[in-house]
Amino acid sequence: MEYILSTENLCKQYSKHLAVDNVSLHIKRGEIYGFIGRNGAGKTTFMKMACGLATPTSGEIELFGARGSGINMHRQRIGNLIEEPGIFPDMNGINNLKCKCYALGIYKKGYEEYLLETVGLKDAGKKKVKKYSLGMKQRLGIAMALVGGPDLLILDEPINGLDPQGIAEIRDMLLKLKNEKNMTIMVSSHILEELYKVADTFGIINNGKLVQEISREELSAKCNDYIEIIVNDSAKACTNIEKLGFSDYKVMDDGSIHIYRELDRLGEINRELVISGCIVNSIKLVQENLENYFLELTGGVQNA
Amino acid sequence: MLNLIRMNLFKMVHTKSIIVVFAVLMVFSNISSCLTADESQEMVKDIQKGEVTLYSSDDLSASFGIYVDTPVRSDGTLKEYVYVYCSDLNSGLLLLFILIGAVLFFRGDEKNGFIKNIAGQTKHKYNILLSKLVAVGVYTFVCMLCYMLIGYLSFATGVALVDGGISFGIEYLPEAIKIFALQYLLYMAFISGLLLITEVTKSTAVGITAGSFGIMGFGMLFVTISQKVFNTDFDISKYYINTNISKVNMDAGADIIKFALVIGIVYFIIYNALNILWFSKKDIV
Repeated sequence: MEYILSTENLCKQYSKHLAVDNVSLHIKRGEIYGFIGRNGAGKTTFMKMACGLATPTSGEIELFGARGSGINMHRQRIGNLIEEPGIFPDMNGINNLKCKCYALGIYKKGYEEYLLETVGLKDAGKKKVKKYSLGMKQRLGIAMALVGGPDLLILDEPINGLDPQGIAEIRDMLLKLKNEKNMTIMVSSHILEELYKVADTFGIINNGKLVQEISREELSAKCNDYIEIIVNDSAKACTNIEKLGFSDYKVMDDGSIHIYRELDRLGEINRELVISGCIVNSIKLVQENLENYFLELTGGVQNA
Repeated sequence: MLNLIRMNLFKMVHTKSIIVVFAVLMVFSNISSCLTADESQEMVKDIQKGEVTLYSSDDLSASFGIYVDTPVRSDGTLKEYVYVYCSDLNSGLLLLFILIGAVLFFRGDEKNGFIKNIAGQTKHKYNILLSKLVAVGVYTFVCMLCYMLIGYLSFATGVALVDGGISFGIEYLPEAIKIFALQYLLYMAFISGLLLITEVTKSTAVGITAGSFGIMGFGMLFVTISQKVFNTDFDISKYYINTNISKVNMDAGADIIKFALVIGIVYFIIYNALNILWFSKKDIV
């Protein structure tokens, strides 16, 4: 398996606080890697180390097959957007991009305009960045990360603060970069459902530790769907459900009933409950989402 | 490295605060020169009447505050402009303006996070610092040069209105260039020290305040304290950069010039070596 970026027992300690604790993570070429974790879990610190902005306390990073000081040669192949976009508010979008182009020795005419077009800011290049909306700034930040056509793109919370349309646009852009340019992308987000729509592999980090690394297929299999029933009389409903042969069900604290097997019998259950005199307020098929799975892994709601 | 220097120069000419500081400096140069021209006329008259005693910058170097030497000789004749300019360099006023611009520029990309876009992709992190230092060097040079040109035009115009003009002092040019180069080195050494403080404290306010205090001679407090604590006459202030800045003028002897040169080189190297070390080790946050 060819990994673009992998780490081995990577640690980062700030005085007494261990921000990243023995993280061994693997990102395959050409995939979108979703990095999930609550605030302060260590996502940004890990990404900073991967980008070369922070030095690990211990552990090893392998980048494009190189290790040790050899990875410095490959740093230019990474584009990053860490936390907020780092841009000069008094400059316009084109000049901000020019700064990074100069730093990387890129002097192609029209290159900045091309990048702005890629992120959907074609007409805003000459506008001062301080007049940009939050979404526009995020997109400019991504355009900055794309300067030089990196092989690995590291994006820390790129959809933070964006409206649903902005989120959808960024999501489409990431898929386009992956599919058309074969770019490997590591992206972290709090909006887990959105991450689920684009990522191929997920890394779940909690309290600095990588709790799990899981592919989309494995995750789909683990995220169980269920039927949720809300009735006026849960006890009576349970009797009828058992009569239908269901044993794998749970009555939740709020009185709702969750059935985990034979989900295609939803209509039959509904009919039986109505016939038995139960008032069915709601009956629906619920897809167990990534968020619930994530909460389970990271110790539940009180921890999140 | 050349790419980074080009980027920093591009950033510098597009940074509003730098342009504002530069513009204010040029306006200040104009106003200051006009006022000095006017005052020097009065002084010439007063000296001829025997009503004024002149002090040299050496007499004032150990005091708090910023002082500008008078552009008039004791015999009541106006000095050439290169003397006036060197006197301005001695005062530290120009250094204060340059320092503000330099510190603002130096921290600019760290404050807005732009540095995160490039720090990871640079082979050696300290190249970013060195390229910024080169940009600050260019900025300092341009400020010093433009201050001189604007100052001369203003001074010459101001004096010409009253007394038929002032000589630039072209005959003193080789000496003036030497002083200019030495002052440039001392300025860069002083600025490098303040950039180090700014970098370590991560605060432009601390950098500018420390620089202002240094220029105004607050370092003399340490001299007094150290002399009292160690019960000695040893004057540590002669090793201060700003003391040397105030002493290097057109009339300075070879020993002063040589000593200032050593001070400038040593401080410049030490400050920047420490800054490189600090910058290479620190995380970009």
